[in-house]
Amino acid sequence: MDPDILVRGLTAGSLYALVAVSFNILYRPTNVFNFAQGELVMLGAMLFAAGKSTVGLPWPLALLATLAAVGTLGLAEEFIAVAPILARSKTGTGWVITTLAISLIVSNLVGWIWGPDPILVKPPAPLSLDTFEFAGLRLNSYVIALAALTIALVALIERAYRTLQGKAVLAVAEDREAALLRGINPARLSRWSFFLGGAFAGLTGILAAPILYASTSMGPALLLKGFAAAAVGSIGNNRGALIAGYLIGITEAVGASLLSPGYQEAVVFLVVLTVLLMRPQGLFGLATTRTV
Amino acid sequence: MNPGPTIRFRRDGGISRRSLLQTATAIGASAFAPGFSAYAQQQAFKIGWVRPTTGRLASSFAPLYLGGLIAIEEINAAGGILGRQIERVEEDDEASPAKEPGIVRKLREQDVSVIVGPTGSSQSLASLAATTQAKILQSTYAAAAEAGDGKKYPYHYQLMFNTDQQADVCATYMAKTLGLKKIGILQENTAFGEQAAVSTKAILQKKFGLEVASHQVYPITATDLSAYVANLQKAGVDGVIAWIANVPNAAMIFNTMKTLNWFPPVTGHSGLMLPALFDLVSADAVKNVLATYYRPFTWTDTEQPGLRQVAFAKRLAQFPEAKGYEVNVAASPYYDFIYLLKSAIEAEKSFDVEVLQHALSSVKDFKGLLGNISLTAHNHCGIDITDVVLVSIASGQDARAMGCMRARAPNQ
Amino acid sequence: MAASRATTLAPLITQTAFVAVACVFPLFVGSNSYALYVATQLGVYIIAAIGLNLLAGYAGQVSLGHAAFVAIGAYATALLMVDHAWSFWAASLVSMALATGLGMLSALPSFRLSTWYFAFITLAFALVFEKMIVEWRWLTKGFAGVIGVPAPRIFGYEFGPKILYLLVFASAVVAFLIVRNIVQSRFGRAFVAVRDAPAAALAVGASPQSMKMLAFVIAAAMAGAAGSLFAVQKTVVTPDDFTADFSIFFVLTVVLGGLGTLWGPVIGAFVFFLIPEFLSSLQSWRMLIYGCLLLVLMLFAPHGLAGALRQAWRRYAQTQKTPAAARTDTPVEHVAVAGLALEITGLQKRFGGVAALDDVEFIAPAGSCSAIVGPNGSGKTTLLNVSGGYYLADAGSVRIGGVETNGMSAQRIAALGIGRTFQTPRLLNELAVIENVMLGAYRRERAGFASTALRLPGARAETRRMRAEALDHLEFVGVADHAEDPAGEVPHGQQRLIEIARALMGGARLIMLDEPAAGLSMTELDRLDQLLVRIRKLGATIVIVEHHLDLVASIASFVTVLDRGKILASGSPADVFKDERVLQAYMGDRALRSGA
Repeated sequence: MDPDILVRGLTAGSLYALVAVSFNILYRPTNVFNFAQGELVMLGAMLFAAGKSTVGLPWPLALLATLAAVGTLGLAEEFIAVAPILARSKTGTGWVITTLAISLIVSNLVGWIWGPDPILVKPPAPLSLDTFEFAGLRLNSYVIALAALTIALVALIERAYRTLQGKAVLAVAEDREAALLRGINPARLSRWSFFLGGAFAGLTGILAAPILYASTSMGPALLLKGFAAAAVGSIGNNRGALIAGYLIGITEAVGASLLSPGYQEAVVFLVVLTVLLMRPQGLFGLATTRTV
Repeated sequence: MNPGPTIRFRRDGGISRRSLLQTATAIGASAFAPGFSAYAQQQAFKIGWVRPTTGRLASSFAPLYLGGLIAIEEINAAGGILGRQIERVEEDDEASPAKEPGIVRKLREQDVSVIVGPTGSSQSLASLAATTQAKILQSTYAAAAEAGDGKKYPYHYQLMFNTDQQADVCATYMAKTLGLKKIGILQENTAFGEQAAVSTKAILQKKFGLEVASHQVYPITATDLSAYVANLQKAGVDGVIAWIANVPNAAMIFNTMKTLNWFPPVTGHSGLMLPALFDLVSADAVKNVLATYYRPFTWTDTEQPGLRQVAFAKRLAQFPEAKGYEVNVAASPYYDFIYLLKSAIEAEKSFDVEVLQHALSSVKDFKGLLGNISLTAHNHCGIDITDVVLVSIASGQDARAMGCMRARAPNQ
Repeated sequence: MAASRATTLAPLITQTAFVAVACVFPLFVGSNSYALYVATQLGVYIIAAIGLNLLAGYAGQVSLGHAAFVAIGAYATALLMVDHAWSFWAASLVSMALATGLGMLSALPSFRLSTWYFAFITLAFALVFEKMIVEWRWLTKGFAGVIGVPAPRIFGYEFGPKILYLLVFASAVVAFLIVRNIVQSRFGRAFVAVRDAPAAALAVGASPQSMKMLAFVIAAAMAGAAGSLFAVQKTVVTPDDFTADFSIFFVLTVVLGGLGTLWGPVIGAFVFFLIPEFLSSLQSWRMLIYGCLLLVLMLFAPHGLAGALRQAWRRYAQTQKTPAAARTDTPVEHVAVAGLALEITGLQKRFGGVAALDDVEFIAPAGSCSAIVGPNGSGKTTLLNVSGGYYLADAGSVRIGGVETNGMSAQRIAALGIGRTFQTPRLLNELAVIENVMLGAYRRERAGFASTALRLPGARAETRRMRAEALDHLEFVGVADHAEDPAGEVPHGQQRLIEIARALMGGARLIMLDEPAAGLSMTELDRLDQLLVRIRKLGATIVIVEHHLDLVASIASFVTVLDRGKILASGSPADVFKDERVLQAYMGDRALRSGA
């Protein structure tokens, strides 16, 4: 098989894993799956590109500004579209529609401001996209850095969940009422999670920009692949998301090379559907039983 | 009721009242219904104007109608066609083929018998199905060869080079001018890409006995095109014919070539010439890239662009919305269509659709902006292949470009 | 659903007027007019939206890929008519059949995945489908699409735009009536049960799988029909018509109009597709406005415009509400039933490493009243759940009326004549109390799907009969005065009684009650006591899980004590409550409390 498939799978897989992790951060204390996540990633890429090229900010500043802005938007989303729905019913799925509405609003506002043309974002020096040959693989320094950073971020987040605050998040995910009795404030945690999940989505967008270009149409595809990675890796499980992200990235690359590239979405869809039908809880989750 | 004043009015003011009323009517008509007074002289000549003003493609498609707009302005300023001013009836199609049948209905309702637009091959074919049936004279921005078939669409005038002609020029350059043997095709999977690739293969086969070394088809929504470029390189291709119509895809492809440090000669569609490409790609990455264009809009070391074309470029520069799209505006058929229509109407002294359709079927050597246009009952494309040439993409950054001029490739 | 005459009359007039205006509309516009074209298109959207509303609004399966069904219908009709010169009618049938086939396939993931997983899968499907239409150029003619679809003909007469409008209009009316009839029948109640309380659906013997499948089949068939009409109305079918956005539009339409309301899809389609035609200056803001509208509606009016209208009307009508017609007070005569025995031997059930049930024996003879008591977490509810088929036992045997039921699905066990109530009542909060009780008869009603959808006389008579019977059961449990109120608004204690009435309505021969006395007031407790005695007198077997030992002692002839999944003691209440181990392990503190 063509060794380049591995590199392409690794590149795309890193991004899918990052989107999946950003889903998980939001999901853990709220049990809400944010349908606007793809647009938050897109917004991250656009804001960063605009901050860097249009306003001319140095990249660390553009990075921080982007994270703060997208995080705040996530927070606003929680406040407007998620908290009121959860207050009405803990188990309802009204948030499917409200987060979808947020996704529409964000994508149209951003499209209206920036238009459909993509913006080129160069990787920060000394990283570059120029390929070199290594052990039969055609690599570039940015892709290596991206994969390393992805793994490091997942490790970091897993560590964070082992702290007291992190445990509180897990407790809320388990049982909101019980957590409340133990003095944990689920509302505060859910706001924090949306802020952090938003900021992480923004970061994902920034990291994706040099490869995919910053464009207003990058949202839906990332939303789907990110969902695929999160679901296959078991929702809420970040290590699962990491592995599943790479699995999906490579599946897609193999599908593109064996069949026509036009089939790569279909291949991913079929793989995800098959996994979910056989194991609805994903590859790395425990089966839950129905309760009556 | 007081009968007194009425009687006095009748006796003393009868005539003056009548004249007063007449004056009032005249004033009223001119003040409140300018269309009405225009009607009194000569009814305006309505042309349907179908373009996206909303939607994803609005910003890149809407400016392409400026050529037609300039033509109308010039004609109206000079007194219209047979004394009738041209009036545009705007409709927004959102660049969606799905909208076209409804829009044709809307325009028919307003007694429109000539339509300019829509832009895009699939939008155009969807619109043509409705306009052909309704017998409406139309000009669309569609490169697909099918759109120039006068038998199939007798009321449509393509007036721009089609996919067959582009393929011919590109294939001839690769195989004959450069003498290459291993030619690859890279195509987007749209109607345009499909038709262009099919004719490229046929021409390479028939004229030069060459089989395509590698044929790559990519989806326009793909986020990573490096695999396709890598495949071409692996197949040992020494020249690429690229049917790419949008800038982001082109940018991804040329950037990949740069990272691979592989710069084979590339020939392709005029869509590659948009200056937006230079925001995404450095100039050295496109040094070997050529695109199809119209001879009168090109220069060489010894020849200059046509005078009319230069005047057009200057006029175009006055429209800020044309910035960045000059090439596509210049390459649009709308300017020539309006003038062609005018000449047919004036020759026949009639606005009747059937009369005009008949007259247009035998146009010979009409001096269009894009070249010499000749039509028959079959051929509604009209462009002569000698007017189709390859130009250098990189020359877009030359001072001589004036937005829509480009340097012709050697031996063209 | 049913309300007093005053509240139904005015809406009825509005609805009739609406239909009448839509009917005579073509008389006032030109044949080639844009207005007629748009109106026809609107009718097509309404047909598809009505189907989606049944699926998403009533059965709760939010499908974000509805455009795919419409697309299949449209492409099938267009290709058959253009390439193979089929007649519209034949092509239309094929369209509906193909869409239905796809609908059945899409139903499969919904069996195993939760609502929002499913929503995501359908969204993914919509995006993939959008790509595939373009990719399969050999079939769909690629990007440019199928062009020049001819008008329908009948005996050589070609349908003009006006006749086509009437065809679409008539189809929309038929779709509306079919969905209305289904929604107001046992199928409709079962859909809502699958959506709001799947356990209740199982308890009355309605299989969630079959209900979801049915909803998909109907929705997909309607989408197929809409697609078929779409092709002849548009005359052009292109991939651009069926993007993922189009799917989302349909969901928006239904949510905007009101999920799970009959007029929702009609109102939604009007607002969603028609208003942009009038406000062309707002075109570029359209999607943004839709997004905001959707958000605001979901937050403040979850039942959409139709729901908001209904609520406003109710508030107005409340002030002049006439008391419901008094019903004839015939003494309630209930038929005796033959109780079913429940025999459980060697039952094992483990959750992870924990044994919830460990070698449990339990026998409730036919017509007896047996109680299961024990501390929290001792496995009482698990025992009921395993008996009812909600959980699969790891080992052992459950025999109901002599039939081995271990391994049978919950709805099949329910069909044997098992009634069930739950710790937290599983009622359909939005439906009237009487509808909740009628749900119980899901298995008993004989009217088939076709006669229900067409509202044939047989089905109508049966509905009337069931209604009367449900009211009887409500009287029997003493909640008849709430019959027309939404179940969610009834006090908690009475909700338990409604659940019992629902079980009785199903003709239960074995009733399993899970803590029916929890949270009841003293008077309600008395009534429950009497009620259980009366049920037992009818002949049904009662198995009751209860903490309230006075109640147990008063009605049960046999008591089993569970502790950490094991049987601690069993026998008559008098014997068991004297058992020392029982007193130690369980009664110690509790006996004092409930004895007080």
